[in-house]
Amino acid sequence: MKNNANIKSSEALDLLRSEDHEMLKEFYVVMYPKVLDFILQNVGTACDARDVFQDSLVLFLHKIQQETFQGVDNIKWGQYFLGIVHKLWLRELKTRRKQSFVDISEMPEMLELDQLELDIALSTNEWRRELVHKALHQLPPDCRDLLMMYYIDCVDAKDIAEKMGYTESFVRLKKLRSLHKLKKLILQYSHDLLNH
Amino acid sequence: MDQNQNMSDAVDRFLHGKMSPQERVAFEQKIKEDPDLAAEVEETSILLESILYAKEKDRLLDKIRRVESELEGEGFFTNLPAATIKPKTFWQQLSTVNTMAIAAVVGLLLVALYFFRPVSGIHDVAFNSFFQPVPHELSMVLDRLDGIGFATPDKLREDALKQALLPFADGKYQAAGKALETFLVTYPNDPIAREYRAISLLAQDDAPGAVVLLKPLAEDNSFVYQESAQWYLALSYLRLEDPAHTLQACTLLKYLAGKTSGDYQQEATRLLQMLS
Repeated sequence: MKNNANIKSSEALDLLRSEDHEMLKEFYVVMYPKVLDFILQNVGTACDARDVFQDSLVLFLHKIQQETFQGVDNIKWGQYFLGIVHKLWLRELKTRRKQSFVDISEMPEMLELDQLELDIALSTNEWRRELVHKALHQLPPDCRDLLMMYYIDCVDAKDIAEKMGYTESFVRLKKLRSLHKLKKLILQYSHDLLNH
Repeated sequence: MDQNQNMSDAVDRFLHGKMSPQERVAFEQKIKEDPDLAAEVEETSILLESILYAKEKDRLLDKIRRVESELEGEGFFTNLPAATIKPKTFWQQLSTVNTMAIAAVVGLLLVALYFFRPVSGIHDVAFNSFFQPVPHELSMVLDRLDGIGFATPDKLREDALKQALLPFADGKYQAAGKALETFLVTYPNDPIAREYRAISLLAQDDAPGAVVLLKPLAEDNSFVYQESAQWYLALSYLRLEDPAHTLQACTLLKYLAGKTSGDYQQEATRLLQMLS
């Protein structure tokens, strides 16, 4: 396995950007133990660590693939990635706090976060996208499929009706209802996040 | 619903670029004049962009899961060393010289524990000899809660806390634990409730749960019963019965034993003696 220094080179960044399988594997090997350590020290489990790692890596890849991405200047990749991990875990704990008495404000690891890491980690748009992703997966499969077909694949209502065995007018109605359901779920998740 | 549906269809067609040039100009004019329509267009546009991202996220997640499953097959996750919990605040409070001295003492203690453990279950004996679910200050806490007058803004809260703590004084730790759990739903940050909830967990042999609650309190210099939290945290660590946590217990006990006017100085000293 390559060493940690390799993961900081610009060549490695390019490989990650192109989602190179071996580079992703190396990224896991170098970063996952740090994430696991952090999550275990902040009332999480190994299972949580894997979930948070996956979500953070998606965000990290998405960020570095954007044309506007200017690099992280003096901040090393590791810190940048861990900044995202911290943010996501903080959000998860905030949600969990509603169901238990975990008090995130008293967690030393959280308080020791570099403010810079917090600032660079996630923008409002990214939070919103995360909420939409979560809400989409909570929708009934037929509603989700319909919205994906209609909005992503730009399939006409008439063609969707044929594929799903509905009438065209019912597809239009169902699309509207599915959108309402999605918006309701997004509002609910936003509310959960804001009320902590 | 029809009107909503038509509006929604028009917005979709506009955003998908499916309107004729004339229709588009007319629709853009409508947007300028109707703030509700403008809001609807903006909201749907944001939603569309987020749905696109959701699809992209699913694609990336698939890729990442394949990497993870390959690593799983290579035993990467099972071969990871167990993470160590470092009580940084305490280490920072102690000088380097003290730290080295403690490390030496603790090293010796661990060697001693290694030899004693299989024979006598030293953790069990030590824990059972020293664990008292009623902290020194319980009567003081109850007296203080009794003395709170009606004019106090937090009267309701203090009464509720008192009711939750009373079973403790009667030795009903399980009942007290449940009452405190309920109290904490409404007042999740109350340090006293958190401490006593932790002690009730420890009384029911849930040391990991107790550690989670006690660790922040033990490190909080502003908590009036910090020493008590440190004492019970040390006992919780001891109850976990593994070398890493025993080391942490000993570090805390040494710290408490070194406090000349500390509430738990004598117990900590005696417990350290027993462990050594």
